Amino acid sequence: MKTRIKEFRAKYDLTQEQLAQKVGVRRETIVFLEAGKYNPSLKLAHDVAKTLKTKIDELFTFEK
Amino acid sequence: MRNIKNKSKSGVAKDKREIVVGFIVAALVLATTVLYVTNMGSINLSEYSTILIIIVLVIGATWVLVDRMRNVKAGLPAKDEMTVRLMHKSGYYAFLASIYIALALMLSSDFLEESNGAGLDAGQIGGGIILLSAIVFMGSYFYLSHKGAAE
Repeated sequence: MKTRIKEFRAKYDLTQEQLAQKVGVRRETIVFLEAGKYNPSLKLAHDVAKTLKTKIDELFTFEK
Repeated sequence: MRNIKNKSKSGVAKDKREIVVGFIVAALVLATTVLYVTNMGSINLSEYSTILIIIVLVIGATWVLVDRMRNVKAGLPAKDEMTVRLMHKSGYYAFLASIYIALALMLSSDFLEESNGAGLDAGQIGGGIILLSAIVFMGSYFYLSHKGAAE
């Protein structure tokens, strides 16, 4: 899984901690999401996309 | 920029309460262990290993509690879906390990009985299963905390 969370985060000048606060998760969760080390639930993916004002499929890509 | 979740005051208070209770329990376990050690006349090898395992578990639990406390202080939740998923996976591994640990301890007991005339009693086997499964749980949790849960 690849994500563009870092790119969108930079666009809105947010730190990982600030994004975590807005989404309502721990900072480590955002770190792991950005690194592709954690597959979020649909709800979390939706919350992150909504916070970053984008769509889920623009934020997360799954490669075989 | 949207705020999806601002944890309610009662949610933050609940997190803090759980952390405080966790610290109290860890302190009580440590105090009980220290009392046990100081009151024992002599300690044999199996008791040393039990005490060491308990200390390792308390240190591990304290590390997790300190990490949660840091998150709560930063205005973040103590637990979220990722920590819950990691705990579930660790619990799964600990459960599987407990089956093999139980088998290993029972076989060891039979072997010791045949060679020394005295095997392990039910309390030692039960205690061994609990402690070793807890070690597997803690080890799995720390390993997954670094590796992540990408499946």
